[in-house]
Amino acid sequence: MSNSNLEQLISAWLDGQISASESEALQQQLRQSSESRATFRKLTQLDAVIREIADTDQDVSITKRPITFATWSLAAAVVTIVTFVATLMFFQPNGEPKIAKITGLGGSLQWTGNGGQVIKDLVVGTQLPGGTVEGMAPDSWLELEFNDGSKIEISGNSMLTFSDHGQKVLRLKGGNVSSDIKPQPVGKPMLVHTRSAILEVMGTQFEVATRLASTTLNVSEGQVRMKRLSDGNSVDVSAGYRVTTSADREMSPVRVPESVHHWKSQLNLGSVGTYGTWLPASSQQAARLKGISYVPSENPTDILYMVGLAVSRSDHSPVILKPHSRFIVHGRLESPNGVYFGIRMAHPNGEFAGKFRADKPAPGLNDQHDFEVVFNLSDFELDPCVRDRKDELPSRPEGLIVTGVWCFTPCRAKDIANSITASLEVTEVELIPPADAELY
Amino acid sequence: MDDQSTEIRSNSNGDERYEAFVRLLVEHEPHVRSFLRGLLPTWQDVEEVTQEASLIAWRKFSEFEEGTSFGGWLFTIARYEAMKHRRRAARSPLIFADDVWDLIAEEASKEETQQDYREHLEVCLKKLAPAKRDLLLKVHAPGVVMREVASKSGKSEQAFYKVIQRLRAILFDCVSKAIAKEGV
Repeated sequence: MSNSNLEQLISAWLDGQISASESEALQQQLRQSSESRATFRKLTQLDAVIREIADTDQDVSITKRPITFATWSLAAAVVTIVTFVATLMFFQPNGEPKIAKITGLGGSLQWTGNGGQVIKDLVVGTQLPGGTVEGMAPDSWLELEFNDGSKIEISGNSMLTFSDHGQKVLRLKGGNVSSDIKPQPVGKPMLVHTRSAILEVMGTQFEVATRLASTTLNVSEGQVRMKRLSDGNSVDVSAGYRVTTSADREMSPVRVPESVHHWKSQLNLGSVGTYGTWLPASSQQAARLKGISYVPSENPTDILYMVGLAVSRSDHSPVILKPHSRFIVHGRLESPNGVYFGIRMAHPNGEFAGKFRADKPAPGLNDQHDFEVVFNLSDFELDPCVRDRKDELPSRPEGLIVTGVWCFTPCRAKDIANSITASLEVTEVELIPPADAELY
Repeated sequence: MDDQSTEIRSNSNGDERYEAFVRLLVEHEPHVRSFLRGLLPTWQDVEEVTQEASLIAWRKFSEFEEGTSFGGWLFTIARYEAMKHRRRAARSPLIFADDVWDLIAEEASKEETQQDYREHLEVCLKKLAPAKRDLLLKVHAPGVVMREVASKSGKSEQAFYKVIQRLRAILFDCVSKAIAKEGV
């Protein structure tokens, strides 16, 4: 059999067009010839890769080598300028068409281009040609605006691949994305792929959260079509409704539940929705989250021990902050150190509404180094990383939805070098609304 | 290939384990799809088995041995799941006989070169005329039924498939030459 004939048979098999006699001829050839099997493997791999590329519509690659920036040894302001200039100078990925720009960010983030180029020092205004953005910590968030004005935002530990070659295609590999999408061209809806579903979006506001085996969609405006990959069933989800798709449950939209004003972490139930090292309960200690060390790029002389908790998870009731509410944090500190507590807020339509933070000096510790810290809403101020957007963000968190909280304690790198350690464990976080708060 | 695997032991916490797993999965999933494409007759089958294999890998992640190849481990799971999937499939010219299937599966499971393949393919795709490239990507996009595109093309189905075959052959030739050149 000639190579050309063999390739035609393999192509017919790949296209589902092979007849019984052709299939028999192909199989006979594959039995007899290792060279034919090699050709078969190469052509099937080619087909798979074409489909991967067609799926994300990323038909171009970035081949520039990775850029590394100078060490962060200068003052933060200087470093920011250096980074900005360096980004402008070096971050020109081969003339790729820029499809979106960064309009807001905070926390530890990185962008990876198609050819493997990695940029960690992202700044507002950077234009991107597509690729993968990744939030590396619970306080991470990044907002992108496409050229047509559509906005998407990832928060917390999330990983999202995005492209736009006439049709926007997102791949949410983990975490959360909220979107405000302008009307899309007819016949070219924005596609959002997760591991278990595909969403078709014409122009609307929605939020998606994905885990390994399930995807939850909340629609706040317009309509989104959700297709479950396991069986191809699809459902249209309207504003005010949510649906969770996984192979083992019915896929029917339900009304987004009424909001609540009280919330309490449930670490005894496991580590879902948390950031930190989860430790189960023992006879002496409650289940807890141990902080993960993290060096903030804006202040590399500090090491933060940080934990995070999702609050208004997409499959639970929205938690709205009432005026005069309080957060009470229970935990354990290795040594007397300040405790910093942050809250991440969203508008009822899912749109990002800022981050607020309250700082407390070292709390009193008992013999076991346990602490309790109360954070009143009046203690909170806009987080430093969003202060440059203070004119467009709400000045106070009251009335907004709490999507996540994080807590950290800082330690100087030089103290670590001198064996002075700091660690943080959190056993419980509770939000108490005003009526209940008066009891405390 | 498995440089991240060594991080797993220290990541004993549930979410860290989950993240370590997702990172490994993101790295290896395209290779698994390529591997499965030669074992399963449709892309939908490939997607289904890849998803099933990913879930099983997550459930069994605690059994994964540090220092061994995550890709190889995932291939083994995927191959077994593909075999189960194949058994459920109805008889058709697209389903190969057991001996042929085993030969292909055995040889394919030893290959780990798909990433190079993708880079070359991206370059070769750029060399195609935009209309041809768009057509090729269109018929390979998720959910697209090639027969429907063929019927709307104004060409006979047979002529349409010939066009796709020719484009595939051009790409195959281009990629093969690029790989051969790299090997020199």
